[in-house]
Amino acid sequence: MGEYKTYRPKRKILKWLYLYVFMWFTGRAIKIAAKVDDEVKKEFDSIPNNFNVALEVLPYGPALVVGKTEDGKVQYLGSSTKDKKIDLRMIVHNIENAMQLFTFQESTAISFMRNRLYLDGEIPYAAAFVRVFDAVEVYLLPKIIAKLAVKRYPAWSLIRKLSGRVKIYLRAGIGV
Amino acid sequence: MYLPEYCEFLSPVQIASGHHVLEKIPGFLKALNAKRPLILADKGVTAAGLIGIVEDAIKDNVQIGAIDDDVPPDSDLKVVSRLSDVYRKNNCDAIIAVGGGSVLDTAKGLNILVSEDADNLMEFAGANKLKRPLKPFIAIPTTAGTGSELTMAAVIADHDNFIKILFGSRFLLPDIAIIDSRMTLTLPAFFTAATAMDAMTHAVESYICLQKNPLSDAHALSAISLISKNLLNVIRKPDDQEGRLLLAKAATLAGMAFSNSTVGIVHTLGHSVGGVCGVPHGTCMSIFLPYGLEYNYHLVNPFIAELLFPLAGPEVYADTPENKRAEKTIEYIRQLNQDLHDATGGRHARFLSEILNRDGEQMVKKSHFDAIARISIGDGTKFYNPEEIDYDDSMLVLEASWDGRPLNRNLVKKNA
Amino acid sequence: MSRTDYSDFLCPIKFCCGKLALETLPAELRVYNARKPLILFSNKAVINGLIDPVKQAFDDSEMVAGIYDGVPESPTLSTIRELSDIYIKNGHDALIAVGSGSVMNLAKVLNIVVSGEPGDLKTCQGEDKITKPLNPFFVVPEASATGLMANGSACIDNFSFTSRYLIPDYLAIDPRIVQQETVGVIIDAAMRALSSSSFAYTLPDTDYFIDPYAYLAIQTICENLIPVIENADSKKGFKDYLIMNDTEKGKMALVTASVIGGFISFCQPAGIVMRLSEALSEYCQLSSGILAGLLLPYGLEYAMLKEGYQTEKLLLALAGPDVYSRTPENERGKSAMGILRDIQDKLFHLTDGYIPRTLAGAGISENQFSEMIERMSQNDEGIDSKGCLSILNHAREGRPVSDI
Repeated sequence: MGEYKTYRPKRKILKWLYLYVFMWFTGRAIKIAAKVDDEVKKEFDSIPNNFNVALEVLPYGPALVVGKTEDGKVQYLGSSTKDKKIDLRMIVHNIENAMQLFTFQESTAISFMRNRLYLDGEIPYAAAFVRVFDAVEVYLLPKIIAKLAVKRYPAWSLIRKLSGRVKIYLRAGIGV
Repeated sequence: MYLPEYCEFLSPVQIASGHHVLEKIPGFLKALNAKRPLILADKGVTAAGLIGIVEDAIKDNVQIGAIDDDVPPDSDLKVVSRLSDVYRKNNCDAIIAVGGGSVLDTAKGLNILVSEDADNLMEFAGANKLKRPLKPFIAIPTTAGTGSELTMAAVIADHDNFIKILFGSRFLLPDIAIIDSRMTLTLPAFFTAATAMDAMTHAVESYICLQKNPLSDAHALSAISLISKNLLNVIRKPDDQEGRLLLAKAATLAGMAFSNSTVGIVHTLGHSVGGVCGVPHGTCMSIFLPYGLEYNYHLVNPFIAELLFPLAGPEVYADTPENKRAEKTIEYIRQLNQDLHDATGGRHARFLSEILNRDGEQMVKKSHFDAIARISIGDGTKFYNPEEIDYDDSMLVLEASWDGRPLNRNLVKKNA
Repeated sequence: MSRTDYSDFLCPIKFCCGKLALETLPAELRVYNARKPLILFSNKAVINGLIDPVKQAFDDSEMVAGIYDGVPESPTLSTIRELSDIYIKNGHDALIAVGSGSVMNLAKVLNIVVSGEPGDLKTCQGEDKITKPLNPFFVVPEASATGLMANGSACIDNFSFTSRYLIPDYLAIDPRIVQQETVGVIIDAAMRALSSSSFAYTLPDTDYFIDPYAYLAIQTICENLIPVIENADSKKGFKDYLIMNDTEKGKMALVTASVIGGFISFCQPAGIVMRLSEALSEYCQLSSGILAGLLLPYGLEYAMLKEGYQTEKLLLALAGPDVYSRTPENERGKSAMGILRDIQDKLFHLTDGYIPRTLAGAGISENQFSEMIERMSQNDEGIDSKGCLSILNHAREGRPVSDI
């Protein structure tokens, strides 16, 4: 006869911390990118005011919440969806899938394909948000890695890429 | 063969097909523990005499709770809510939906309301909000193309707020889809052509788009081969019941493929042209299909080449050198559109400027392109297309498909 | 030719194969609103070290899983009783069966009991007696699960059950689970699937809904079996930890094919090859899957001559569109049989003769045939004794069946 035990799931603290830091930085970078890059700005213009988007990992987070205020300013709203009005959710099923996505082993597109994450909300806004996310990744990451993360690496001028990159790193990192 | 690192496949709808399957519905209902179905349809279905056929086939063996054929082509929350009253008032315990996409989507919405005993459908909007099986639901598609009977999504409009609401859950799927050749037998030639090309597009796109997997591929190949072998025969000989059944089966196979691996740019643009100009879905599909292949050519040409075999058969495949097969596939699809154009007396449109409404007026104008391209970049299917699609990309394809010019593949933006 | 009259098809399983497949289990349980699964492991699964990866898939989820290790090879009603007590007492709401066929079998019976009343076992006996969906039932198979993971049949002691509701809801094939398989088990599973798929694919009346599944299983086995066996012992390199290599993918594909084979044999009545190989396996040391592989070309040749099976179609699935298109129409069937014999030949060499090429090589003598067929026809009236004998005799000598 066999033996019965219960298994209490362990927490994956290190992975959670990595994601927390990564998503915190990306969230701040999105806010800055909306100021320094015209294309990102235009994408946010297509999203209504007083609208919050969350990218969250089930079931314990972390999350990345960005939104537009009543007067159209882009804000980073922190690492938790708790007590926030969320209009659009991009939900990653579990922490391992989030690791695949945020260590660039799977691009955003491939993660969608493999049902690692799903959408809850209006698709046009989600499409806009994914474009924002892609643009920020192009700014933040060296080309060789960013190519893994986005579907089509854009033909931006070197000046646009580098000046944007410097501004975003500085302002997101030290909060200038 | 293509083996992805990870894939999923689910197609849990029971498929009953044949020339006399409607008669088996009472048995199916019994197996599902249901006694009083509500039959849903639209006016077109009734006018084509299809409700009569369904009623005659089942009325001796099951008590029909009610028949409602008042589902409009753009069904909304109010219709669903009205139908839930009909369902409850007549003590129904199952739904039979006879029709195309709109009727099936309405039925899915209705099933949520009556199963969850709710009044407000909005509580269940979005992805994965349902947690348990719904009431017995039998779908009888009448168009052999849309594949709605196999998709886990439903779109229902809210006309008061000018929005479309998306519902997504595996529990929305019908229990059984009935594929009976009598349901498509009277479909006019150009409808048959458009719906079959819709199914063809499902199959072809599911084979080349990002979520492709070995199981969806196998379904897609079967579907393409069946459509290719039977479509022109059926158009020329509309009462070919066997051919009709095979086309309907092919549409079902294509539905199984694309509901698992989804579709790309052909649908992205098709949805938008449908939304902006009101062009029937199947027409958009057949026009954009060759362009979808050309647009993604640089990324997926080996897959496109593989499609030549089911499309054109072994002789053409063997006679075409390996490096020419992908181009030959595209050429073959263009030729198929041309043949359908000829066989339907010109009613099957080959390019955008050729699409006419009932009064013979052009439905798509160049001035619509801007709006079409804007909507396209927000369409969900763009995620699944191999190449990125932005505003300029959409414009590029729209310009070419205006008068049927092949796409200049050098102009497609590629990975920098 | 096509099946003009009625056809009925249902495959309710959700397939999920590949990297991180195990990690999808909690999310998929959420779809069914299940929160506390009971996970069953066979003895062999415990030895193969499958508990850890499955258990860890629940890390960082909100679900507390019950783990029962060591389901015996031949469970009895008392095992069911013990497990149903555990399930109910601990408030479980879903079952996950990991490993071999015996666990799958046990889990199905257990699910009947825990989804309804304890007395249900008696009333649900037989065919299609279960009238409503049971609790969520997921499986994580090894190749050795021999198709039981994908069908709707189960039996225990003297009870047997067949129902669509016994087919699992979800099937996860994960590289970490299938890597442990031995060569013998892989060949057995693959050949079993190849036989049932080949017969389904070449049916005189094509069933268009089974066709894609059968086509895929045949194609997968033909392309992956030999390379996987050839590279079975190769060590993992550094790169292989980052990207899945072909052998890993191939093994997963083969297990998927064997799942599909199991599903097909549930939809279709067993072909003559499966019936003969089951019977033959009692006369020698070889498993019925391996024998089925050996008998397959002979059985197909016989079925083509006797009942019009479309063996020429098989060439497409076995060799792909290029070879199919280049082969003249009237030689396609023969070519396909040649490929099947080739596979058998390669397996013979790769396994140093463990997989025989002929029945004579399997150590079965001619005078056992008639006794065996006699016994078969007692259980199965529809059997064509003469045809069976002819298949066996040809397979004994390795001579194609050219007339009947």
